[in-house]
Amino acid sequence: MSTPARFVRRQSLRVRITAAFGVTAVLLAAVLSTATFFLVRSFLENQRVQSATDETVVVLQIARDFFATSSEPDQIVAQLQLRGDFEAMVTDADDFFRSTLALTPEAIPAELRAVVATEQLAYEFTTFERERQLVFGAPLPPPRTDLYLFYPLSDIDRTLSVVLRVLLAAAFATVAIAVTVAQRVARRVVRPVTEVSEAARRVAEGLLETRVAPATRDEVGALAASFNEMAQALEEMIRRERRFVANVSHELRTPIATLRTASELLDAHRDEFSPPRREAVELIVADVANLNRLVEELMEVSEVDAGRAILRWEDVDLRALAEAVVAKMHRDAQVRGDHVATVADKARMERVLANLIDNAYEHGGGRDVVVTVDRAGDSCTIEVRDAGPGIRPQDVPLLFDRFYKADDSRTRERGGIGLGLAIAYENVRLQGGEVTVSSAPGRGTTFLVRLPYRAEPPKDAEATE
Amino acid sequence: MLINAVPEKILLVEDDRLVRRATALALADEGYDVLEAGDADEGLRAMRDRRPDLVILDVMLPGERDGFEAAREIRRSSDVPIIFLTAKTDTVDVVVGLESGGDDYLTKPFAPRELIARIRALLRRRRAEPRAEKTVVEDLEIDIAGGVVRKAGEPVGLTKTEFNLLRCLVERANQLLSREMLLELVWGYDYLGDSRLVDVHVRRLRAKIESDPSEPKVVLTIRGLGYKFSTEP
Repeated sequence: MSTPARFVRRQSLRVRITAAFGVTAVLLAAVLSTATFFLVRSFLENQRVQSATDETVVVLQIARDFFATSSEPDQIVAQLQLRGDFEAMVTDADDFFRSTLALTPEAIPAELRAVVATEQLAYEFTTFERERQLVFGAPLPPPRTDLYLFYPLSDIDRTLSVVLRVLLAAAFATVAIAVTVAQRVARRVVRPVTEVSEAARRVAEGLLETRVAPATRDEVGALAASFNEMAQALEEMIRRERRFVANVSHELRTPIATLRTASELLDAHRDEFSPPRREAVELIVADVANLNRLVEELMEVSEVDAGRAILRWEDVDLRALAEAVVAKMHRDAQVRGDHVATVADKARMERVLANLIDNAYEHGGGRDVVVTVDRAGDSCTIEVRDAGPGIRPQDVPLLFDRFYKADDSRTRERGGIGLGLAIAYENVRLQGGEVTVSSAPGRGTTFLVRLPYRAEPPKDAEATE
Repeated sequence: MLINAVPEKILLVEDDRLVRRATALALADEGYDVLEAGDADEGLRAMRDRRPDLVILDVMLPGERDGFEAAREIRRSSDVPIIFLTAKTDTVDVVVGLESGGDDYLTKPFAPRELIARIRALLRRRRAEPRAEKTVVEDLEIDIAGGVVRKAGEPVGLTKTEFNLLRCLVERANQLLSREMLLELVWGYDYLGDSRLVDVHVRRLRAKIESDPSEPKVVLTIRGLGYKFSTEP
């Protein structure tokens, strides 16, 4: 494949359509302008030849009459010249007579001279002193004496140059219009295609309800229609899957409620059991708690996925919240920083903190866990830092992925199922914030929650009181 | 529990038999006398016949009446504390449901410890402050020690929780009380409690004691901060 062809293929469809229109317009304009120009020129020249021929015949008659009565060629030439808009020259065997000093015998084309020598009236176009001339030649009565009349073509040439300029302007205008129209047409043709590819990108990002408007009934419209069908099918498929997860989780809740209540009752009396039975009770309690957490996490994820997450804005003191969460979890994490009062979803922030603190203990080794609350300008920050083994750099970008576990190779207590960080991330995102992580192996991990500071609930939120 | 103390009676209305049995076992294990009911009608019958000290009501109940309806029915004749049980995915808003007369709610599945903590907070008997004088604001007469509230001379029927809320406000008259403080004082919650509980109960209290609940003069809202009982005109 040649390089220019490859270059063209790499350009956008819009550029290519415009370029095709432009090139075609240039070619057409060039051909039409050239043809027009030469047609006009030959028409004007023919006309001039016609009138000049008539004039020459008359002048020739007069010249013959003069030569019949006089033999002073320079006077005859001067007389003739007064008869019309031309310069005259008479040549004989060894001299020439001219109406203007600018003329010399060299101005007479050799072919014309040869034809006139055969006693014929003839004409020819020539250029003399950088001006085009129409030269007529005719034999006079004295032997070897000829009359030449030089008709200037400067007026025709002026007209032609105007015509040329007009044609050029018209050609440019045509090309410009063609390119403009091409761009519009291209945009119109390409826009639906761009829309479809935009929509495809949005679907890929997870906005499954994205559709394109089938504006036309042509091939592009068909593309839009089949895209919509595909998106619909995809959406239904994913919704079905999510509904299934939500339903299963919901159905699991009731038996888990029973299990949890019953197992905790047994747990409260574990001292009354023999050691093996006590261990059995402890196993049941631990795994019922895990099962409960799994179902709760699945429920929360499916709520977010279904777009059913409703935010409840209220006044929150982030430090007091952090302290309450730490106390509820019976952890020894330190809470530092200011009493940052903002408006947020308290229940969601509670889960964010619980998940991050839990993660610090489960995966961060649980040594020296520090929660620091701060406010800087428009954002409130909560930092959860541990002094654990840190996270491998290649694992960092995957941390917030669902079901991702950085330490899957290690044997450890089965705790969460890897949804905790994803849930924390989603809950912060729902409130317009973000969670970032920085970690280095051996130097601990820091999760940073950044929440926009709010003095009151966002305008589109439902009032809570 | 003291030896020989009469156990407090708790009515548990829950349609799922296994959940109900497990919860009843956990409550019985804590020393409560548990009455079980599988639907609202059964629950209301037990309510009439056995006069429980506290009612736990599942919101989603089979039959014509759901938990909110049952609570409304109970409230016609009783100030007994009511705790709603709700599933997070229930379409009804439990806080709106609290307007029907509930005192607190728990989201299923809950830890039994949590339920017991909620029951204890609502059943907690408070010793009245040794303060003899009555508080009189406008046409409102509050006798904390005597447990009586009169409006324009007429006794006002407050539930136990509403009375506790009013008591907390009156005992700290003209002081700002944040929602979190009230949650802790009245319901025994730490910072994590749902502050909407306070808002709903303040609204209910106002409806009973304010001359114009839409323009409260006694229980004032301090925007973004909390509430205040005002004795100043």
